[in-house]
Amino acid sequence: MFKFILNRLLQAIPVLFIIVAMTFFMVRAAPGGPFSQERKVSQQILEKMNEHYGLNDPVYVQFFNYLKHALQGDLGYSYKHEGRTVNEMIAESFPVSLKLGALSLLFAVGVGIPAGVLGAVKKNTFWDYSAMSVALMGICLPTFVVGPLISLIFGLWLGWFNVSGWFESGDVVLPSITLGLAYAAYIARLTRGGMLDVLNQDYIRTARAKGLSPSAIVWKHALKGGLLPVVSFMGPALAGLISGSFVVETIFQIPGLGRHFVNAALSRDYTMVLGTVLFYAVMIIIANLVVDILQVVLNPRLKYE
Amino acid sequence: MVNPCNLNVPEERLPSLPIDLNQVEGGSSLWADAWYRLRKNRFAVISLVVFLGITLFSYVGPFFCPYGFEEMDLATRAQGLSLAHWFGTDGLGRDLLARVMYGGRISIGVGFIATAISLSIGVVYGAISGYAGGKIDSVMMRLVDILYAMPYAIFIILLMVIFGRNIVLLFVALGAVQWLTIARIVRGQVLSLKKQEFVEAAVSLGLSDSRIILRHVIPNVLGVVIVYATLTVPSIMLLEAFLSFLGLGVQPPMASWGVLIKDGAENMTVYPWTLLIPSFFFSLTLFCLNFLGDGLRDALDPRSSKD
Amino acid sequence: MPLLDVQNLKTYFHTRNGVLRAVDDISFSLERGETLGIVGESGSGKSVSCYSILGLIPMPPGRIEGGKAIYDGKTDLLNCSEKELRKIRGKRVSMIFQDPMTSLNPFLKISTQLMEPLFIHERMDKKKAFDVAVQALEEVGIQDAVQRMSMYPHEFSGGMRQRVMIAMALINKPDILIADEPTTALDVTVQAQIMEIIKQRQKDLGTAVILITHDLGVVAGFCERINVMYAGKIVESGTADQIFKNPLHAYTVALQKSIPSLHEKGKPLYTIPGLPPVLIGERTGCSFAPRSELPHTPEEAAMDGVFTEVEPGHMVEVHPATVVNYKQYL
Repeated sequence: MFKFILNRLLQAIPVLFIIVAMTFFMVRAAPGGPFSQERKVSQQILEKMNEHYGLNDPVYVQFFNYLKHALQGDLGYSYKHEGRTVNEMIAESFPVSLKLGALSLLFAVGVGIPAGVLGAVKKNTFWDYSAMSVALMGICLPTFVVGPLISLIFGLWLGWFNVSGWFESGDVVLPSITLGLAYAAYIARLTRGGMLDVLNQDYIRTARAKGLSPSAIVWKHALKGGLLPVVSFMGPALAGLISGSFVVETIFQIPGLGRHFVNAALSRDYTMVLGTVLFYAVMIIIANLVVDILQVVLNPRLKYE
Repeated sequence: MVNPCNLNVPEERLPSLPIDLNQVEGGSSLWADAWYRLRKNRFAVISLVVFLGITLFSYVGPFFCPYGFEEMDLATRAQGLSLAHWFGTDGLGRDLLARVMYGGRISIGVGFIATAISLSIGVVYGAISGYAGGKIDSVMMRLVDILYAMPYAIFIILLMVIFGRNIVLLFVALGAVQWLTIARIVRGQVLSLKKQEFVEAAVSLGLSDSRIILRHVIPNVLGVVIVYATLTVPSIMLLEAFLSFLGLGVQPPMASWGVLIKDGAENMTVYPWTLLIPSFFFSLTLFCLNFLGDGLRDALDPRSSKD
Repeated sequence: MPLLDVQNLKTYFHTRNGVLRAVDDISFSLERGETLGIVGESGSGKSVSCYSILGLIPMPPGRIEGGKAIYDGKTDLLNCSEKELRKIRGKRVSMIFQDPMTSLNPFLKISTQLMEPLFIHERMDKKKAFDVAVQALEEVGIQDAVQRMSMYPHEFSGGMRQRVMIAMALINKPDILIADEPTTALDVTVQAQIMEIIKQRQKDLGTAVILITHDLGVVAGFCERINVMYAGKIVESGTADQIFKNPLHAYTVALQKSIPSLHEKGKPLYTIPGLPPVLIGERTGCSFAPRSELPHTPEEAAMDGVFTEVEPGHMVEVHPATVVNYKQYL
């Protein structure tokens, strides 16, 4: 198990390196420096700022300097927010995004799994068809359509929640549902498919022959196997949650990392962009590792490679 | 669909291989069988008709519309639905009908062009990898594995930021991230083909590699490619709209459905129809293409159809 | 009074192509401690008839169209509530299945699966259940039972898994054990061991056994009574002696001829000509007539057979196309 994790982390190093390198050189290849947009800056000050941020060194030197600092956990200063480090900004906004992501995942799992189980157990009935039709709609409707729509309906017309913002505890509801809806739908479909596969297995017949009740069969014998497709979906889902958070945090004006990233990208805040991408990449790698471990825990036939 | 970070169509949604559609079974070719099964699938047919209708509406409609998509008329700002402006007007007095049609042109166009790009990259990459075999193949496929794990949306955002929000670049960038699955499939086909005896025979007869690929690989993967393309178009449209919504895709005064939804979302408190109408068209198109893709899958691969 | 009395059982499957009459009006009974063999080709309805008794038929498409299965003179298994049936399954009537590789849940430990029947039927506490389960494993010849308890099914070989299945089925000391082709999926070398274990456990516990198999050779020397099934019907039933020494139905005769071990070396193995009939739709006449080698006219083939007792305990479906000199039995 320890070896497995270590192995995975070692494999992640080249991936991380490629991501950082691609991002770094893409950013550096951009026409115009980070300070070129500021109008009233004199040539002299521009030189000074470039000097200060090390932008006059050859690109490869800058890259290795950046790598060296990044390895020590130092992502540098923001170009746009004076005196603030990227680390500070991530530390400040990431918990917000994490809360949003965790709540939407909770919503997705809490709605998706029961809906999928219902669909499988009551296969080809009214319940199955209605659950799966709703799920299909949830999948086809993109976040940036759902978000404004439910904020229009539940925020503006019905007045149950604030249209946007991140102040009261009720403010988490609409964004979490918006972000989680597509995943709830996807999980429902995956759960239904997985459960149908499992419910047709011989060992379910064995469990029935033992005298188990239908609920014990579903929850004790079938669910573990039926959830395997859902678990392997969790890796990509987490990566998707990140890009979903860009949209949802923009729609609902939530001060999370996603919105910071979009703003940094729009304002060419290079260090912030680089740092965020690196941070996201590490998050995705950790998430995938957790998913891999979870899969082995759920499925005894898999061994840690 | 669900993951704008990596929209490569998963292999589960594609028919299983190989299906040689020119093969004749019981008197009718598999093309004919597949076409028959598709016509039988009511949802798929409706989806096809609706999608063709929307496409026609977007591309031909503007010729019959008295307003230009960027024509502002401050006298008729933010009007509701009326006979003069069927879909109303937006905050700058632009006719929403004209804008929805024009936006459809861009959105659907992006979807198709980027899909064509992604297919070309994927087929060529997969064919080379499979044909080269050995070390080259394993390196190329390892790269695909790595790329599968990449958060594309982030890279495309970077690209758009760095190189300006250029629409041609957008086409290419969107196409460049969608070729992974198809590359894998084509590679698998080429690999399995290489092992077959008739290919060895063809090689010994001096037939060129490209001829062999053309003759034997293409027919086997054609069915998959069709389904793949049908499902990739909506996923690219989704990514385009995602970027445009963030202000990083198509730039005003040009409009795509993503731009219209963004504008509508900003003004929804005052003129909700500017959000609802483009959202409806966009979602309907995604629905239709996904239904159609699944219908095509079932038609081409009856075994995979879910009961 | 028989332990299990099945009367006029009919199980149909309602498929897209029509009604498949998998079990079409069969009756048989089982005494306490007795061993009954049900023999027939695949698709003859032998498994479906036993699954019907335990309510294990997938419904839909399956449906029990009629009949009774009186257990212990009291409960009709075909017409009682699901709740009552659950109390009988795994407690009074247990079952083992053909493929031990797929019949154990791969996601749960052996201990969990073995102890489950004790929890639901006996409300036993964990510690005691563990001891009982270990003992059950030892009784089917599994060594290091305590260590084995914490393993998963994939760590066992096929024969070992079938032993686990037997231990699990017998853990509540049921009155009836239904063994559905228990050795078909196993290596030849293991088959005899498994049959031996079933026999041994049956002797220890006094359990009645219904052995379902397509191989008349497996039944020989194991079962006291034998039902031969063909196309959803019992065509011949009797004691093992009667079936082996005096088979009357052409199908029983043909089955016997095709037992590999009774067959003379060097000669080609006998195979029954033709294929089993399609069971969809209503059938008239004798289902075996088209495959029977006895001379008969089409008019005779269209006649209905008569299920008759030809000697005490020996019942045969008497029909011109399947029984030699059929008239003497009518």
